[in-house]
Amino acid sequence: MMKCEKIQKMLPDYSVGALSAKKRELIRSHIKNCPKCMERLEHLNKIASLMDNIPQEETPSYLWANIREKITSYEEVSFWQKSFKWLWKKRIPALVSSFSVLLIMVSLYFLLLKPSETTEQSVYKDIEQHALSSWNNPLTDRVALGMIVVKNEFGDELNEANR
Amino acid sequence: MKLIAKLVLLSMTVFLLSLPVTHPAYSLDNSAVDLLKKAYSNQRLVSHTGTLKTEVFLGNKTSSSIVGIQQKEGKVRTDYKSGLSAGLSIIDDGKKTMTINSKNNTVVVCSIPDLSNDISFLLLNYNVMTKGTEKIAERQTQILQIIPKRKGNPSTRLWIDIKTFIILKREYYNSDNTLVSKTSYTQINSNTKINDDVFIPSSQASYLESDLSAEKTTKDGIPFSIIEPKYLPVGYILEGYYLFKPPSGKGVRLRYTDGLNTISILEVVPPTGWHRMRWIWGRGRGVQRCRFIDNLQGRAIRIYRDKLNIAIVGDISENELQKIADNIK
Repeated sequence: MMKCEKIQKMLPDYSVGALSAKKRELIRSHIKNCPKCMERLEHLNKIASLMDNIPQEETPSYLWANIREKITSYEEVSFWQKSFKWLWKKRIPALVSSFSVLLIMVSLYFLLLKPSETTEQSVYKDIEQHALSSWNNPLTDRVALGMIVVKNEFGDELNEANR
Repeated sequence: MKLIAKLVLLSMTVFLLSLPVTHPAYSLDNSAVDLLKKAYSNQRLVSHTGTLKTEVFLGNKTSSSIVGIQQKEGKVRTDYKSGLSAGLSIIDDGKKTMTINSKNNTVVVCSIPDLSNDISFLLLNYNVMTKGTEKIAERQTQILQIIPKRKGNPSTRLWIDIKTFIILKREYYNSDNTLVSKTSYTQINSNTKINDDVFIPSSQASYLESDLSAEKTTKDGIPFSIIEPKYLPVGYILEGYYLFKPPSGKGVRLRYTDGLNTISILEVVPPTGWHRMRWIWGRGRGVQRCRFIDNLQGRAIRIYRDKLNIAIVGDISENELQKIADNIK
């Protein structure tokens, strides 16, 4: 025999017919022999009949409009708003990934994209290459040319003088 | 018949006598040309030691150095004793230069292309004339002036020792007729014994190869397709092709000369693989327009044609340089 306490817990569902046939049969056989539980069931049935007698209120006309507005406004949330929400929720992984992307970009700049020498430098290299081509011309002032072309430090001053 | 022969002889004589005033090659100062020829052929032959002062003028800046020189059997050692180049020495054997830096004990070796000593091409484009005499380092010199026949080219003045034909003083004026360098002996001695060791750098020094080294080649020897200019200033001819090593890729220099002045066209083909990416990026960020850099050695323009990085360098006018650039296609 099932205990009254368990039966009484199931009584609200039984009163509205929300239980399986097996449980219904179990309750039915219990309340036949248990006046306490029977009384409880009658009490519940009374409440239900009272509630049925309450006049039903009509659904306000604006209700559906409000719901639709909510749905629409939810759909219009932009990608960035969603992303921000996501970032806010996952802020630590996001910060780490942002830093990683930045690090990769900086590394790419220095390793791959940054030219090995500036255009200015390479132009002076071209001029040196050109100047040295006349080294063996007897009319070339090799002493002056040597001071300009061969000496790197002087090359720097040469560049400075032309800036 | 005799009369005809006499007339022919007379007309030939008249023609020969009129040559010096009608043909430019004969209007030169013959004594000046002879002196210049001797200076050309004797430059590396006369053994001597000496001290020089060299000055280079860059805009409002002047850089100078006192230099010691030792020359023997075609080899020259130049020691810079003062100024910014102090501590540097250059040993030159005519085929290569060895630059010795005494501060860090390094020797940078740079191969130097051989050039013709033929003066005839210079005489086609320049007038050579004597401009009096002067004593330099207690020696009697003849002053020669070499002036371009066409404006927009450099000129030079030489003080040539009338006994040894060594050039004791030089002044170089650029195409704008501005003095850019001046070098003069202050002391010279032809009787000093020079030890061969001075032309050999220390064996303990670190040897490096200069990135300015160049090697003469033929057009067929160039490992990539080059573009040659369809325009050159009057008087200039192609002297040769020279392979060089740019920082990345392969390079060839086309050397054009009028006998004194030089125009270089440096063409660089991009490298392959990883370095190519760097090169392409560098090109994109580099100077796309033509630009001029005034310098002792002239002006430079950078252009990009058919995947080639091209620099045109020369001491000629901006217009001429631009015209060459426009005709490289």
